[in-house]
Amino acid sequence: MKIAYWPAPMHNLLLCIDRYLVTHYIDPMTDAFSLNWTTQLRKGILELGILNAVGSRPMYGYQIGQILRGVDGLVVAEGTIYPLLNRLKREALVTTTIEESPDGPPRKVYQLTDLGRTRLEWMNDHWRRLKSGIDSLRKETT
Amino acid sequence: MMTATLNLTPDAQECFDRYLNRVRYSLSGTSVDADEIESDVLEHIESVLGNEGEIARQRLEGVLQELGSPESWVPDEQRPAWRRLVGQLRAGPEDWRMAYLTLALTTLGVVLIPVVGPLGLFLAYLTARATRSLAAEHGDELGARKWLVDPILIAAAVMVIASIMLGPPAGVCVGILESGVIADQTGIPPLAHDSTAADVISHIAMYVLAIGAWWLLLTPIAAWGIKPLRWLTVPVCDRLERRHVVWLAGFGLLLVIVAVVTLQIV
Repeated sequence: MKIAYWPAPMHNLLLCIDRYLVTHYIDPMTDAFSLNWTTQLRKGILELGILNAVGSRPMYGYQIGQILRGVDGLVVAEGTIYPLLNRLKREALVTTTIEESPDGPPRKVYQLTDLGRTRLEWMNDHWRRLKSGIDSLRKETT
Repeated sequence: MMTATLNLTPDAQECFDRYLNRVRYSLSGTSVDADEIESDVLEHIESVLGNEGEIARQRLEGVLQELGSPESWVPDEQRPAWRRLVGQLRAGPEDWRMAYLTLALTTLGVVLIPVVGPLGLFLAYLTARATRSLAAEHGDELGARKWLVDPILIAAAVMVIASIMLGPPAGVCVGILESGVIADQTGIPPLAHDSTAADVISHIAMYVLAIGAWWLLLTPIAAWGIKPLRWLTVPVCDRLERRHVVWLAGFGLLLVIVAVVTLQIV
């Protein structure tokens, strides 16, 4: 920022104000943007992650959480998966059965339905196309 | 909620119950089945801690931390409109917005007393109660927010307490003494410009007598209705217990004795 037509003290004062504004307002805005962006991105991908996890083999909620936790940045709070699983069940993409567990109380096991498998294939295909599109764009810009 | 297989310390059980309340509250009004999520959460915790012996609060808190805040489990757009509004008001790094809203409504109510004062103060009272309830549901301490929230609650509580403790005897005394209905029986005439000092003291003694007798009468009612009384007078009587109500009877008796003695002397 260069304001040549101001007297020097005023120029310095304006520079100080400018620096203060950049430090206190511009940076937090950038942080809020990145937080919001990753949250929005994660929201859609988490569903894809859950369906892929359940698609590999039937598993119970805690196992799904553990597997997804292995994907860096995908699950911030493990509890988030339960309302999502509840919705997927309502939409008949997954079903649940109660299975006895050798080391504890019976557990609810989730598995993919035929409808869920069809949806998963479609989502994976869409994801592949989206990813390759973004990758090719990145190559062009770099 | 009692857990079937988990062996929680009382402290941990209290923490767990509070967490489940938050789960239930954050899912209410959404399409998610809160009962099912509650059992999912229980199963999750049993999967992690099921084989451990007695589980202390700190250990449980670690697992709950991994599960995360239930308020973040459902996207905002799935919540009812009123919940989103409350959430927006509460949003912020220090969760102070409801408290500031209370202060703003209190100030507005006081400044605009002739215009919209009563409505503003009533809304401030409701917001203050909501702020306290939400903080309790989230297991938060109000901390310094009480300076913004409590003034309106204390004012309301003082009015309620004064109305209950002084309203009926004062009303009866004014009705009976100042109308002169019992002037012949008691020998205490209604107060006038030419009343003597003895008349004024007799009046005061009669008021004190009525208040003392009312407090004696109030004691069993207050002891029976201690919970509603606490609820009505938050935060002033938060720690009110039956033994305090007994003090009320003691003070009532003292006032009656002082009044009777004074009347005898006068």
